[in-house]
Amino acid sequence: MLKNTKSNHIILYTCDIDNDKLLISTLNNYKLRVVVVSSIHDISLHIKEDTPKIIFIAAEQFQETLRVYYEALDGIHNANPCEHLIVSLVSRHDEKEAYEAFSAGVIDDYLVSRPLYEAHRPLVICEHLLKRLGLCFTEANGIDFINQNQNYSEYSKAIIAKGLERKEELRNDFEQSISKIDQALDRATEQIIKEQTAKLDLDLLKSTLATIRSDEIRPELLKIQDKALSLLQKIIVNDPSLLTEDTEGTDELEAIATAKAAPTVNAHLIDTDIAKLKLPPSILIIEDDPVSIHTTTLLFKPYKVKITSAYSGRRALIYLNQQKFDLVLLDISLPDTNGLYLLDQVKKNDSPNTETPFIMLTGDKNKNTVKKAILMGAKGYIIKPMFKSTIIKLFKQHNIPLYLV
Amino acid sequence: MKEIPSLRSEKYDLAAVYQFTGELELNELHSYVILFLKNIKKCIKDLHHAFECNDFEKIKVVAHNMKSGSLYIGAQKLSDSCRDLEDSAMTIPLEPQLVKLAGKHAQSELNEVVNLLETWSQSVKEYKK
Repeated sequence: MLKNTKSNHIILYTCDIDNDKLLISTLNNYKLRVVVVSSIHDISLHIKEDTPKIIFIAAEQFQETLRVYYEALDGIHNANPCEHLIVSLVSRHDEKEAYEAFSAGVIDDYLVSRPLYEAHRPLVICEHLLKRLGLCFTEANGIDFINQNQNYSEYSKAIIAKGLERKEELRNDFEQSISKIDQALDRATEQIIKEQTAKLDLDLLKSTLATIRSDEIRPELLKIQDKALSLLQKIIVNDPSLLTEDTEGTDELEAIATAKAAPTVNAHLIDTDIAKLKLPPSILIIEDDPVSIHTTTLLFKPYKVKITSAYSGRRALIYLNQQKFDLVLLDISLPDTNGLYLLDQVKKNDSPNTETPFIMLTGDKNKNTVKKAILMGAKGYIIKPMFKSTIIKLFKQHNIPLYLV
Repeated sequence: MKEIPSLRSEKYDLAAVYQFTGELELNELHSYVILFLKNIKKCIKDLHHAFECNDFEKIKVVAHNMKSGSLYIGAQKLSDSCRDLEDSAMTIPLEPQLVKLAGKHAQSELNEVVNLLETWSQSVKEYKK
């Protein structure tokens, strides 16, 4: 059911785990991994992670579940919370109050679980909420389900089958619109490369991309999003006037950083594996300060290096899961997460960059932070601002070739 | 013959940029300064808002970023004042009056640097005409 069962998508806060054993085992039986926490601080930490999640909160009284969650939310201070949904675990006595809170949008769902009367209800809630988060992919097999149930009347079977077919048609229409945009983007990219005028149905593109509600939903939509962004980058490369007072927004800056870093002139070869393949080294800079990113981009101007930049942990994680880099420069303090946490995620999970050297960028020589980073697998750290000589030395240390343009 | 606008003032030394980027053409340096100005103005705004809300965490973050960021243009005094502000916002127990004092000093440095850089940017535009 889940796309990535390694991630912590379901969190359960409880101070009395015995009460929730049935719930945990039911979810586990259906391969839904539950992370149990017992402190408000732990909930805050999970909310600060990038991964979308469902948080079940159990407490003696319903009001207590609200207090626990909202205290945890308050505890993340200025950090951005991940996409998450809250489910209160309540007693039958508190059911009415929980329903009213649900109707008022205070919680996203609730479950009478003291005791748990309907053993499969937690699964229904999870499936429904995981879909809302874009994490659940259930194959439609409604027709099989109807046919298997011999006790259903022929009329019931027919009317249900008709409805299911209609729903399937609507889904197919949506898939076709995706495929149409996909092909249009390919055509437009080819035309831009040939310096021809490209046409795109922007309204269709916008309305389709607007259906993306999470970075983990619908790989086809994300593919289209990437193609659209890459097309925009190609257009931006041809417009040097962008780096003026008129430049707005980090996305454009990211595009400039990527675009400027791919010169295609002859290379000065160095005897390493990468050099033999004649590929320019690729580096990822994860940093929220546009001046720092621009500085690093200028620094690499004389070299053939492919630079990708990410202004947030969330964006960085997408890049790190998509492609392998030769070097990653990672700022410790990011707007939406901590660089150390991001490093930990990459090193522990099945990322193409588990072996990539990570160099931490920090504003302070805080021994504890540096020690922690090294323990987590970082290969070094640089105290900002980053000098040109330091970065050149760094490439040599890690045997990464720098081709002169 | 027009003179190239000076890279140095009492508050900054734009030649410092070359330590981080290597040699730059005047146009590139100008673009760099424009980006820097845009960023620093955002910091001033953020800092102002953080003081209005007594958001000491945000004050710390902005000061921390500017502490290293200002060194790109050789604004050592600005960097020092941001370091003092960051330190004051990290002191336990927190002394709001001390933070406000350090904040005033940092904001004044920020404004002075902005004014001087804007003057420099203007003179580059005139030089290029």
